[in-house]
Amino acid sequence: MLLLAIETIDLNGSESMFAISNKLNLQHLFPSKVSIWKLRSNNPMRKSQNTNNINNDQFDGLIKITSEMSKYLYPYIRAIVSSKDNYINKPELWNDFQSRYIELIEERFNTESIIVRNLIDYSYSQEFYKRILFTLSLASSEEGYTRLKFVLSNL
Amino acid sequence: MLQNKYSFNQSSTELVISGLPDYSNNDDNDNISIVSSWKLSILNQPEIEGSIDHLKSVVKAFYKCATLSLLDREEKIKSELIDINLDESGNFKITLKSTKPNVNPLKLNIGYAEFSDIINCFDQLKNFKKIKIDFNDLMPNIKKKNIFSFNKNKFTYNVVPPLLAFFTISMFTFISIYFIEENDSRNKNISTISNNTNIVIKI
Repeated sequence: MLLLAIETIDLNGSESMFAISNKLNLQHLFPSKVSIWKLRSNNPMRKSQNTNNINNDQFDGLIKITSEMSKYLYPYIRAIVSSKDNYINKPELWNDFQSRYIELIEERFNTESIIVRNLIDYSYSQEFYKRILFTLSLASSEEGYTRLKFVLSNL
Repeated sequence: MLQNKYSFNQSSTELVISGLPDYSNNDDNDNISIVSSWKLSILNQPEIEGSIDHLKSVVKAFYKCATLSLLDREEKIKSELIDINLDESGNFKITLKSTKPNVNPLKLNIGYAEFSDIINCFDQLKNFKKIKIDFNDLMPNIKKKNIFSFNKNKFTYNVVPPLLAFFTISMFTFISIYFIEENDSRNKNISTISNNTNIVIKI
């Protein structure tokens, strides 16, 4: 869900993730864009779900990519969160994010599932979207990787 | 001796730390080991400043609050110098208590965006080598949730409905059994009475 939110903000998200993984010297874990996509397909909510096992290094690599991507996108992430905080005066950014996020979920996830149906229900899930962006914004700092890893390992 | 001053910025927030090097600790001239003052400025909010104890308390509370929020655990954070909790509108309500007598607590209401800016500033401070503050005590010590620990939401959504259903079905079953038995015993009474009357007639 975090990577999907990154893709919502960065229209060229999958390319950027691959570029970032190369920058972080993670070629041995993610030799191609397809390898990242395959790992992301482990999400059981996806339409085309894979059942590959993610090992620790790959899990770590995905966290590093998420944290590094949110560093680059922080100004945008912050602006969207701020738009939600101040929705009455500046609703545009939040509305744009929300509609594109829902579009992507509908495109990639199995909409027959009740969890996914709840996810695309704006009134039910807007707090969840906000939490996703908040998580990304706290993962964007120098301590972001450690924080995100701690949180994901303790969910 | 000149004081050193460093500032950390992130969007709406600026953290300024002033202090002196500790030469007995082999510090360089541009280091800060003794923090003499600090100031946290947030856009459209009053400035926060205080002693090193205040700073440590504020950093600790913010780090703990950030981690708990990410773990989706809504807990109020209370300490001697600072309280943080989420209000109904989803903003962070911060109460800073002064150690000076007759000074009212300072109340701030900040959104998620400002909150993440503040955490960003604290992270910059933590990773800045020239300021030597021991962050080990300031990091949140949050234990893994016990599987058997009580979760109000889980209890409400997962345990209460089946319990309620079980209770309702049991009640209906007991009531039905009671009425059936009642009906049966009435029928039996009627039949014995009729049998008795038969006997009487035969005699």
